[in-house]
Amino acid sequence: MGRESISAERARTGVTVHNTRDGVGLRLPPDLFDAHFAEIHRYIARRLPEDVADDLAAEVFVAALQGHYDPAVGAVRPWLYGIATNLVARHRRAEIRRWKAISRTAERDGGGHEDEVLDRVTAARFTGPLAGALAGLKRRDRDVVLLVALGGLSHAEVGEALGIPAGTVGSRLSRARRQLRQALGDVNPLKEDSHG
Amino acid sequence: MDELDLLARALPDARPPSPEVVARARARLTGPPVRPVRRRAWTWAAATAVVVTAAIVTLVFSLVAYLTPAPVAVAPRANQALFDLADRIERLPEESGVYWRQVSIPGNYQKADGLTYLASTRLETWQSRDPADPMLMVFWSEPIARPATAADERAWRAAGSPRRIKLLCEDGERCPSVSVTDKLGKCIYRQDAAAGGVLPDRTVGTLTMADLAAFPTDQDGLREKLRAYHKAWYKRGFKEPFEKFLPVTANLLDLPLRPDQRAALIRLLAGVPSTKVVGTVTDPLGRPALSVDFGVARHALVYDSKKGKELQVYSRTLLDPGTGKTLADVSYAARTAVWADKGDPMTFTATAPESGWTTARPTPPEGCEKRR
Repeated sequence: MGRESISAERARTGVTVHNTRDGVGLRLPPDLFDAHFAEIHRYIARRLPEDVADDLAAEVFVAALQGHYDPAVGAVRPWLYGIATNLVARHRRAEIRRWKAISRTAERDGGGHEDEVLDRVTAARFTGPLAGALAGLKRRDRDVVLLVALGGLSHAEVGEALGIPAGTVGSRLSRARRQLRQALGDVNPLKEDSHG
Repeated sequence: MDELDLLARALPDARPPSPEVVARARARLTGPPVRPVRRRAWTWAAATAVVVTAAIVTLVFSLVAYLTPAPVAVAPRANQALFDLADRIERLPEESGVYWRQVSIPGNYQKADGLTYLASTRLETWQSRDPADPMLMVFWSEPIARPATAADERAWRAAGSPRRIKLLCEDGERCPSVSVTDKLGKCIYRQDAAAGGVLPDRTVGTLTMADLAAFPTDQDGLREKLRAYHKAWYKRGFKEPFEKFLPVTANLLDLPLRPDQRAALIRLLAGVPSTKVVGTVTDPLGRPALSVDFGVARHALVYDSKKGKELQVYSRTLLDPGTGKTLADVSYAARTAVWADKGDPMTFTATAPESGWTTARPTPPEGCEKRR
């Protein structure tokens, strides 16, 4: 995709849509919305307030329709996550406020089911430090971390989503992980599995 | 588990989009382009209204102050009720025990057939003074319900004491039925050997029982101790002053502090500008409580999909007037919605009376299923 087409896309939709080829208007998968809306909404709603997520998740698919997905360039899922991440970037301050608020109050949410609740009680020990560390990360590092952690994308898929080389993904991830580990103090979360 | 797995587990999850949100998004794809609501105009209008109102109020108060002689009596200290509470509890005997048992009752206020019910689950954690002991967690996931007030209970009995009720969901749809009972259903448990004596609530800092026991009881010492935790907080990425951190320390009132330490913390919090005593209320479990707004921005929002909006709620901490311990955190509707009036209690997390120090060994209830 050429630089011109990125600019044109940004002008049209207000968001950079990677993974499209200039002038090529290939068809979107017919079940794109049904297959991916819920997970894209969830990804955004874990980063921003729910009402904002409702609007942005819809915007992702509007931008996708206008962005002319090209299967030859990469898979559709990372492409959607990339659009979502670029849209989330518009709300950077709201996102940082959210991580700070979570870190302060470390939500004592009693909802959820069975194992989830026990998992959350176990993991809640780390919620505050991790959310605080996220607030302090550079945006580009935070995007990489959250695409992997919340979106479940591989390094290659994160590269596709953000339009950056896999090596850059690796270095950003490595830097961010180091900061997350620092936020956890001397706690090694790997110990948890061995003790059960 | 690595940092990224931990991140995925530890960060709050989001609920699935409601059918209305999905339908609205789908309509944006198939219908004519929809312009987002121009909220900025509202913001400016609201800001202008606030400024104008403030100016008028200031003017009126200035005039009234000019015309009215100053009162002779000395006004009571702000948050006097908290200072009084601290004085009452300071000399209570210290509790003894080997295990700290925390029984949390998270729930919602729900409406059905014109009555209000409390629908809740139950979560217990048992933590030893010995950091080598595993932490026991027990969770009863099946919600049970009971009438919310004495008046609701009378109406429930008059209706023939139905054992199962269908609650109204937040979006106006009917939810699955819930038993009206005190009897808990099935439970699961986990023994967390990796807890390392660290208390689950890390909002103030990484605290063990020994750390808590070392909290000073004089105001200067306590403030300095909290400054040390603020420094760690600052290193986590918060670039906010100590004054913004202080209201968060109200979370310590949930933890196993001694009465003199609890009194010291309550005094310190009473002097924080964001702290406001709301008054005496009844908590979700029917106990008298002192309702306090500690000024912590709790971002709980309840979704109102009928209107396609979230319902803003505000939180209050309800303290035991006899011990200063947290009885419950309750959220209230900040405006009237389809299924709630402004000021209605919406959600809560109550601490059950059986919580506290105990010498009984933590044993999973019979029939409870073990989970890794």
